[in-house]
Amino acid sequence: MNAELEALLKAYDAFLQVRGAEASRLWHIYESRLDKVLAGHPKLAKESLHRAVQWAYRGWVRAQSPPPTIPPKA
Amino acid sequence: MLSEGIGMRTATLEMSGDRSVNVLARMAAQAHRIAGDLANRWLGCCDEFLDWQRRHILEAEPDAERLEAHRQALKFLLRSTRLMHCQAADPDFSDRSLAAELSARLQQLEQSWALIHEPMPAEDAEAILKGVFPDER
Repeated sequence: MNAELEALLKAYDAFLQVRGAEASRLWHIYESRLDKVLAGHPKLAKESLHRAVQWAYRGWVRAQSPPPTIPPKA
Repeated sequence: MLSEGIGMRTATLEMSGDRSVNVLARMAAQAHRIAGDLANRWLGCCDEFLDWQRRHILEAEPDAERLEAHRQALKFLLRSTRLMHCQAADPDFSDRSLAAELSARLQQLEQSWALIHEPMPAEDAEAILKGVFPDER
């Protein structure tokens, strides 16, 4: 996976997973990463990039999650 | 004698006024406490929802029935959290930290809605990702 995209996904994940007012700070970190990527793509809207990252996030979370446990045979 | 009587009555009225103000202050403090407790319990409820969402929606492949149940629950949580945040954001609300907590949780719930129930069409997302991260498969 592209390292920049992975960093964005991890930053978005950190924001979604945290509990408490800390979420706002983590959202700003994610946004600043978006801005950094956008600097090389001036025609792309921030919201569009965010929505694309959001789309990629679903698949990424599933790929990260542990496989379902199979109950032992009786 | 007469003036003494009037003075006594005035003093009684003033005491009574002080007492009623004290009662009102106690009631107001209690109302603030209840609102604060409610907001804290609500935040706990949102946390439970977000943890459930992680396990059963994001990490799983939910069927249509589960997705619809999630949609309904999230809609209610969003509406209620907005109302509570509005109250906690009032400058007169006693616990200022609760407004920040509710605002953060509201933002997470709003992201959940867009992420799960209003995702960008796959072809649009793939085109953007391919354009920005060319080595991305």
